[in-house]
Amino acid sequence: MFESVKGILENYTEYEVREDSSLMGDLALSSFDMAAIVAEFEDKFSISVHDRDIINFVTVKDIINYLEEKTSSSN
Amino acid sequence: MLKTEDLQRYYRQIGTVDLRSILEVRVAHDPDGIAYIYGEGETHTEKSCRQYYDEVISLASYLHERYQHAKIALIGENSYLWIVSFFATIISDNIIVPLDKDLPPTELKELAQRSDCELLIYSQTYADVAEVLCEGGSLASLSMPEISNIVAQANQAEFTHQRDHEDTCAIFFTSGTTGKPKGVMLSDKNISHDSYYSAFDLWLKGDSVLTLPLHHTFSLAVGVIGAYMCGHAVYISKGLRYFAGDLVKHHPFSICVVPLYLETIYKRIWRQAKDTGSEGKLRWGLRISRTLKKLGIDVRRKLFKEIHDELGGKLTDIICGGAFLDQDYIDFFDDIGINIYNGYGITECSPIVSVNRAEKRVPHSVGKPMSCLEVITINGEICVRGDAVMLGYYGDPHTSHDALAGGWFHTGDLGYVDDGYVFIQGRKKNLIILPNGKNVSAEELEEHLEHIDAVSEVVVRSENDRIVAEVYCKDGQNVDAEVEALNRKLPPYKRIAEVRYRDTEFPKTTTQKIKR
Repeated sequence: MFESVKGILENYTEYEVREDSSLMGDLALSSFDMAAIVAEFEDKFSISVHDRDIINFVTVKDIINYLEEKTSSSN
Repeated sequence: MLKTEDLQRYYRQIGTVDLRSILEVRVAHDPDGIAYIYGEGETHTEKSCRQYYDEVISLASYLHERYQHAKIALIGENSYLWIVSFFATIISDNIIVPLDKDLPPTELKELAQRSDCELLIYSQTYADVAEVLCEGGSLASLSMPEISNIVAQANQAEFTHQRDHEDTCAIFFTSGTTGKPKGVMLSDKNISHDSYYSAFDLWLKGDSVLTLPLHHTFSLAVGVIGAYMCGHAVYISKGLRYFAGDLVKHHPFSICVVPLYLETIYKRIWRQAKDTGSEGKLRWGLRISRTLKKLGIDVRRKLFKEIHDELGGKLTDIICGGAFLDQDYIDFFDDIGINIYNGYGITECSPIVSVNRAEKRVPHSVGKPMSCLEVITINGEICVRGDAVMLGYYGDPHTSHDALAGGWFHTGDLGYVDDGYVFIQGRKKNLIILPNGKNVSAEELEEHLEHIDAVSEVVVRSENDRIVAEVYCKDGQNVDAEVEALNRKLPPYKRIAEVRYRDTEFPKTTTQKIKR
């Protein structure tokens, strides 16, 4: 999962993506970047992400946990 | 379709400018014109001016029977019913309190209590937040599905009550420098005059896509009231995630944005050029465009057709406000054939203070003051006077008195006025204004950080549009985990992007205050 997430995030940041990287701090992502990133997750994992869930993403790990939960519940 | 000059003439004939008369003029002359569009495919809905007006009046009548001079909080994502609720509350002689949906429920509850709200109007998405806010029973609630039923019964409803347009009709919360959001009290006269005159000062020439959050006065004044007055349809976008797609689907002529949007579009254009190996072609195109323009030849829309197509194909005018916009972005968009009208506003002035006009845009300036406002500087501070200036801060007469000293609103922004054009140079006080237009109080974040045991001293500032906290910790401790925990409780725009550690205490003034 980390590699998949990293692959998408790397298109939006010039910084190294680690599990503990903070999205807005370490990776300098804007709310606009997050909107585009989430759209990519939706396509890649065939899930639907609620707008209000995005607010809870602080670190890369948060995204991984969220996606793991979403993809396991949709299986 | 009404001609622009006819619509302008009808609007000029208004005796007393207020929000209701702004709605009524277009309904009287363009009843079947489309005011709003929302939804997609089968759920796609168009509302004519007549339908919109009838639904506003129907809800106003319903509210007026139950509430008068009451504060009514409003929370929800951008939607047609949000807009109907906003206007209906004001026309019903009540006071609307739009809330920022991204704030944590505890903070929203505090704001609703502080502004003495009696009713909460909420969208279904925020039903859980409404439950928290209404706990204890002092706040009644009305959901948007319920409102949908009320307005469904709209049939040329009679509602003749006229509110005093100089009374408070809205309270907008804005970040102050003291850490606690201030409730800006605006009258119907304030909001309607600012929107009315700004529409004449910068007349929008075509349909638009509404994307900025509606609880911001800028979005309401230009994106909603201004677009309505100019006779256009507004497509209500569901939010940031859908913005790019909505541009392509709905082909707006104009949009109203904050700088972050322009920065993002700019970066996207260059990234795409890089990915397709056409960076050189883009640079060459920009050079050619500039040269030809000097010769009076304008081929920008042909030269950059692919870029225009990605923005819907018709986008010509972008009104930008809410935060500082670098002149380089204005120049770039100008080179590709899109006019950026950069302006300056502040919630306390309903909010537009000045904007660059179609006839003349002055580089690095935020344009000329609105026709209903005067702007001067007092000791280098931008001060504003006129019909759009607020009544004061709710429940805070002392701060109101200081802010409105001498009959001028003291903006806290530093700048100058040259040949009628306003130039902004910085902030007098410590307020962080981010490219997304959000204002963040450095003191509020410092207060949160000071609650972390290991933190002895802290200064929060903005660097390259990121929030940076410089901390001095006892025994050189690390507080990264605590800051991450704090960030989880804060809305995204207030999150601390970087913690920078110092080995020594901050230098102090003689009164032992930290030198910022």
